[in-house]
Amino acid sequence: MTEISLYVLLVFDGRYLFIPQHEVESVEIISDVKLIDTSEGVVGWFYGHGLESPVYSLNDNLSLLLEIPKKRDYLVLLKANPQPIGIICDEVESINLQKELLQPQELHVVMKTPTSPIRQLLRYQDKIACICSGTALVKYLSHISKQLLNSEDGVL
Amino acid sequence: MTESRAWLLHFAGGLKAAVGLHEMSQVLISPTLFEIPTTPYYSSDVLIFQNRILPVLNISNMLLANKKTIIVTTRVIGVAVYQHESTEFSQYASMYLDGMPENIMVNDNQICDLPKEQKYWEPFALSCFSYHETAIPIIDLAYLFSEEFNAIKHRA
Repeated sequence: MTEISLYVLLVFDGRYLFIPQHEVESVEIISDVKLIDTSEGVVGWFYGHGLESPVYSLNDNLSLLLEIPKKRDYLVLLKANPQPIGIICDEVESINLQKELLQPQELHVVMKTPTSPIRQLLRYQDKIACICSGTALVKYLSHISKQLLNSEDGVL
Repeated sequence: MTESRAWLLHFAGGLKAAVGLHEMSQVLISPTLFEIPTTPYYSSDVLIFQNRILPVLNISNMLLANKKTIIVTTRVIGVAVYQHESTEFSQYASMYLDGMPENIMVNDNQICDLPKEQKYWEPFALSCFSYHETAIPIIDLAYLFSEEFNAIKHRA
């Protein structure tokens, strides 16, 4: 198995999330997102690459936010079918783990849950960063947005 | 009669259990903890120990609570050492403790049954002994921190 070295670092609310670069479609700026009143946790849509992509806003707990905090300046589009899926964040950076001599560590089994997108942890600056695969993160976003929809149904 | 040393561990909520003398590597007082999202409520923190990222297991919450209801009042954390196979490298994980571990002597005459009211220890108790008229289970750390045990928990 080839070890992945190139990652995109997403930062939001102080949470550091690494995603393999080959699973990222593109990085855009927030002004290109058409913001909407949220439904199913979607805070906006990005029209690009000939497709409409739903845009999500997450907090440091990886829970869906129904609003966009002020600092969110960037949009990271993750590759997904049938269309890319966007996450807005405060900062985005491209990081080569090998070059930076950073060594990810597997998430311990006692910390795993069936729906968690986190696969590995990494010491980065003064934080513990989480490493997710793009596919797992897309699946997780779909899961929590469905959960939100169901809970809203429950209230109604 | 075989006699050996063990560590008597105190956990929040009045729980007590023991591990072998060489299964407790160190006790850390107030280490820096990092919360990891989308993890189980009883195992959501990590710490850095000798360059490794270790999970911090809250046994009391795992055994007694369905939610984070048992508040850990101390910041004493025990670093446990275990091996899945005798040929494998030692592995580390940590646990919240409710005070410093006690170094005690245990002999064969102290062996007793695990009381009915403490059956929650059963899946990972190697055996049990009586100490000051209290039944103390001996924790099978390798099983507690195994893929097998943690997968069963998620299916339950």
